[in-house]
Amino acid sequence: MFKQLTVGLSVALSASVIAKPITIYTYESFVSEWGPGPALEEDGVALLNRLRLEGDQTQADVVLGLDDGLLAEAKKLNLLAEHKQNLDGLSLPYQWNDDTFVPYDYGHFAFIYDRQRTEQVPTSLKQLVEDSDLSIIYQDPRISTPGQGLMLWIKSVYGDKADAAWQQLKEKTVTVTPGWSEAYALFLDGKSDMVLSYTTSPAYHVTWDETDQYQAAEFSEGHYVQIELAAALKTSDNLDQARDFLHFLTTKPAQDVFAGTNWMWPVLADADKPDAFAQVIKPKTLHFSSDEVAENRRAWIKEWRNATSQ
Amino acid sequence: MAQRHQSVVTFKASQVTTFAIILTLVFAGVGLVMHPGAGYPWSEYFDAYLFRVIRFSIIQALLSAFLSIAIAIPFAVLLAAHPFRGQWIVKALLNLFFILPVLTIILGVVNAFSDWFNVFGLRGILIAHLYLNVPYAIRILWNRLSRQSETQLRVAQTLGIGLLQRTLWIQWPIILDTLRPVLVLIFLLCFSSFTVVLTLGGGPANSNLEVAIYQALKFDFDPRAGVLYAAFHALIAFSAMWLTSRRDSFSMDISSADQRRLAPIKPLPLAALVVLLIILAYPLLSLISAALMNQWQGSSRLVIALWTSFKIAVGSSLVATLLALLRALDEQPGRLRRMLDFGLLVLPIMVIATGLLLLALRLNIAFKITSWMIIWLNGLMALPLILGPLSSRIRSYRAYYQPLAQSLGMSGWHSLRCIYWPAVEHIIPWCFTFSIVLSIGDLGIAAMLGSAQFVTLPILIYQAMGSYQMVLASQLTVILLGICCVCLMLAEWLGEKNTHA
Repeated sequence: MFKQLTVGLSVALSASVIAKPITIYTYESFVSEWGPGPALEEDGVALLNRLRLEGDQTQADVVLGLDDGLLAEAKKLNLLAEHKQNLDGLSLPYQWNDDTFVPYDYGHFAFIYDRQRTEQVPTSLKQLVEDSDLSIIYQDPRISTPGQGLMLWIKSVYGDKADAAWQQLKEKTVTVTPGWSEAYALFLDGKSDMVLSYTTSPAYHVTWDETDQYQAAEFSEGHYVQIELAAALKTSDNLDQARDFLHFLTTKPAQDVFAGTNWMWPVLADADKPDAFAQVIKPKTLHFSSDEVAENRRAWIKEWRNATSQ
Repeated sequence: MAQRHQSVVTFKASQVTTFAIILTLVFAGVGLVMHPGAGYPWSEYFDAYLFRVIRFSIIQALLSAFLSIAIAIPFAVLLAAHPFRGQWIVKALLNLFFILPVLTIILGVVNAFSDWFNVFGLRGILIAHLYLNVPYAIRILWNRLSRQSETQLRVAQTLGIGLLQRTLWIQWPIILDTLRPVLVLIFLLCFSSFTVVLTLGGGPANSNLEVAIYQALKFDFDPRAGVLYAAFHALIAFSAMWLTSRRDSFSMDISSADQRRLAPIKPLPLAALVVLLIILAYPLLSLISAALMNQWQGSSRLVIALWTSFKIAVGSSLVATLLALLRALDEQPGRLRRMLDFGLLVLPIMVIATGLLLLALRLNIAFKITSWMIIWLNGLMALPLILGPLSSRIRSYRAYYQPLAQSLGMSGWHSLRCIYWPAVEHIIPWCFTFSIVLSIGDLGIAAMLGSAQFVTLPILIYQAMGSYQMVLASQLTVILLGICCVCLMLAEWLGEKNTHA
């Protein structure tokens, strides 16, 4: 579902002013040809670990695909350069003031279900966790940003009682996958009633499969939001080009392709979007500050791990 | 004087391998101790998760070991009842399951059983482990049972003792005698299992120590956690190893030709054989049919993955063959060396890989020597499996010719060239191709050490599985299977050709 991002971007890029190639670390490397890329280095969390592991030996000029939850932790590595862009006028779920990361799209997490298969759809996260007997598949919070999103979602709804919620959720869990694509494919294959994805996922099926069979369940507590980010690396030899690329990400030519290729909301309000985006649910936004996530991520992951390994 | 020369050569030769193994262990140890990661207070790690992972590792390995043995015993008894014509083919087939890339078994199990039940979890892990270990257990027990003396059999025949009594009175004691080392070995193999648990685990509830080490380093970049899990792994593995000090029952027997005059197979063993073959072939056949029934999907990275896999496999085979050859020249293996040889078979390789990776990161050379580390570790992994035939050849030649060499005053170099090289010359190609089969399927080491862009055929398969591209994964796995089969046939053919030459 995300796979056209790089294709779209590289097409757009070739038309842009950037002459010299730059190395971009992203959740789908430019060589990857299926799904959102290699499972071992799947997305934001894995990307952060990769930067940690490589440190100042990294080959990257730009890192693309970290999210707002990981922002503070990534900055602590002291590897990233200021973006030096003017980001006024972007349309985001909350005010953006960061001097390092450039947001390029966002989305709310949601559980997707198949209308033809599931009739009793929970209307709140609590209902899903406590009362529903639907089976679910979600992603590993340690390596996948949707998985981490669910963790933060549970945490913002349940607070100190998250531990018990995870144990209840465990009973309904078919499997915890390393990445988004495996989870989604298993769901489409009928292995579970619901899968953790984004509110925008149904728009993909409407656009490409011409079916409204797949729907996002709207939860009354609100949905946790993810803003996807890019940043330049201090160690880059092409820092100017890297910054040009960051600038390009928020211009209309780039923004026009995000909705229809990455299936996330663009950060420019007037960017082109597939018609199906009109039907996408617009839930209340839940989010933690990045500092709060950085401070607690490890403890919350431990909480999840302990609760779900019982 | 001459004797001194010779002992100098063989002493040094044997030392190279022992030294190389110990050096690797020391480097890994240094890497683990000097890790660059931040880490947290030690007490933080002793949580419920740690004990659950340990418990799962042990329970899973115990279940796998006991179930493997329980299934293997009746088959071994039936097959060993009478030697039959063509039994070497059956033996070769059973060996094949032990050396096939684990990924082929996993993909086979997923293809064969996922329509019936959820294969992600303990059940899937156990089934894959049974497929890997039951054939091996049958093979060892069969070997041991075949060694019962002809006299015993003849006495039994004269007394008109039936199969049941014979099993009870003659075979059962032999089985009991073999049981402990086989149980321990399979326990260790499953305890150190990485690929199976990683791919079929399906979440933190089914994580073992090997996977926990990998996740601590790759997901959390927390080397201290990795070190702790590694320490527990080593502690438990070595405790289990102390339970057995016998390794003679483990050697892989490659002598395919049976000199005795053999009868056609009897109905009961034939029935057992047919059942066994159907069970064993089922996942492989479903894998192959899943791959061939669908249109070829392909991957643009296939060529580069194949090339990398090929380079790594050839490099590892060179390392393994050379080290095994040097090690085989060793005159009198001491307990330490024997432990090292056997230890390599069951060593928690992720621990060693982690240690080396940490050391390389510390020295800022991690991304330059990735391939070399992968080659080296795969070579060490293959070493114990090709050592047996080399050692036994050299031992028998030494017994024949050493007195002659001494009386002729041959130097160490001369006796190496004139006695030992001719002894092993014809099995070296076998060792080499066999090692290729063992290394080309490696996922764990390459996944642990490789960077994001590093791709081998098994990594490509794993990534396809990770995107739930099961058809592509199956097709790539069939390619891997094909390569292994070609190598094995080549190995057999080289062995054949040289025996007749």
